[in-house]
Amino acid sequence: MIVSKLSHVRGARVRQLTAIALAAALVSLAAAWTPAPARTRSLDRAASANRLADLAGVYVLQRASGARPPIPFEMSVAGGAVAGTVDGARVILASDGSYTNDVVVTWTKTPMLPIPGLEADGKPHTLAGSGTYKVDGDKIVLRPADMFSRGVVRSVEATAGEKGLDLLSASGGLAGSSVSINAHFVRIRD
Amino acid sequence: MRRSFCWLAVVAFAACAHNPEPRADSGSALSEGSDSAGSATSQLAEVTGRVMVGGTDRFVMVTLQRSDGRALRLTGKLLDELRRLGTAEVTARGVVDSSGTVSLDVREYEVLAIDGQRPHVGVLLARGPGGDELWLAGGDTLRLVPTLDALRESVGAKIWVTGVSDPAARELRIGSYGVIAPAR
Repeated sequence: MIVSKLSHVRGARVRQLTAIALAAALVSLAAAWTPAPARTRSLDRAASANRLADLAGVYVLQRASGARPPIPFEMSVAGGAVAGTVDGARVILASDGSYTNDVVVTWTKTPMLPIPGLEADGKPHTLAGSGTYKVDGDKIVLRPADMFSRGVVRSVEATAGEKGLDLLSASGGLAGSSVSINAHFVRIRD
Repeated sequence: MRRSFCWLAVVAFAACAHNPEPRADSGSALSEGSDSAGSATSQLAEVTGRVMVGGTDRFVMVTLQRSDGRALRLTGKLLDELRRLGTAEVTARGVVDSSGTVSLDVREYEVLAIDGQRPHVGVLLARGPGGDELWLAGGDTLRLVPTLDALRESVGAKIWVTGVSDPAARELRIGSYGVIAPAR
């Protein structure tokens, strides 16, 4: 698990926040293999379509482990310190089973990187991602598909309902077996 | 055993740069031929899939995810338009460049569906007395109803609109819309 590789400098809470920030970033940076959109559907096709329509909407990060944005994080990856804040995040679920997401991150410490938008310049940067999602009972599984972060995360498990969207875990790719998430997104628009 | 982790973004970037994309000649969805130059590394192709957008505010990658799950990076002059069509289903036509990471230099595209609905695509026009009517000039020229104030700012832009059309009345009742290319 990635969590076990992190340098926890401020105890359990920081560990949680770090995981959350990481997970939030993963949601945006994530992408890996994504299965083909279902062309053959099961008998509950109509129910599934209705469920997707019910879930469709705009969700905004409200809190993560009790903390509201901006959520500071600090971690050590490959021997280098990475720090900053997750200033906000948004997930838009569409009724056709696709989604897009944005995470606003202000990096205060990053390794030297030649990637525009990932500089530790103290300015907020938006990381965007997109993919598909499927409903599996009470849970939904988001599968990032944008190439930017291909291979970082295979899937993100969440629950969604009238109260909003709760990200539970991320897995696959660099996330390893699983990274716990405790982030709540409130639904602001259908 | 110490597992070597690179910073996520670095890995993501590296994955992009060295992504083993599907070969242009490996997909039945590709309709191929030789380009005018007869280059061994470029072929004309038509690819249908879903537009996926990811990256930072200053570095965006746009890919077309095909129905078999494979992805093809999109490039070219129409990239700004395609990045505004995230998650839309499109058919893109262009030149496949397989000299490095396989990519498609998009020369033209057709939007098949946005959120499951076939959109009307065209240029937003202001017509009527005082220019108070909004029309969409595309395959058909339809008056948009209701006349949304928010859309007035986009007159001259290339937009998509989904909704219910009434060809007899030449009207399109707006369900949702988006700007593909701002007015010049």
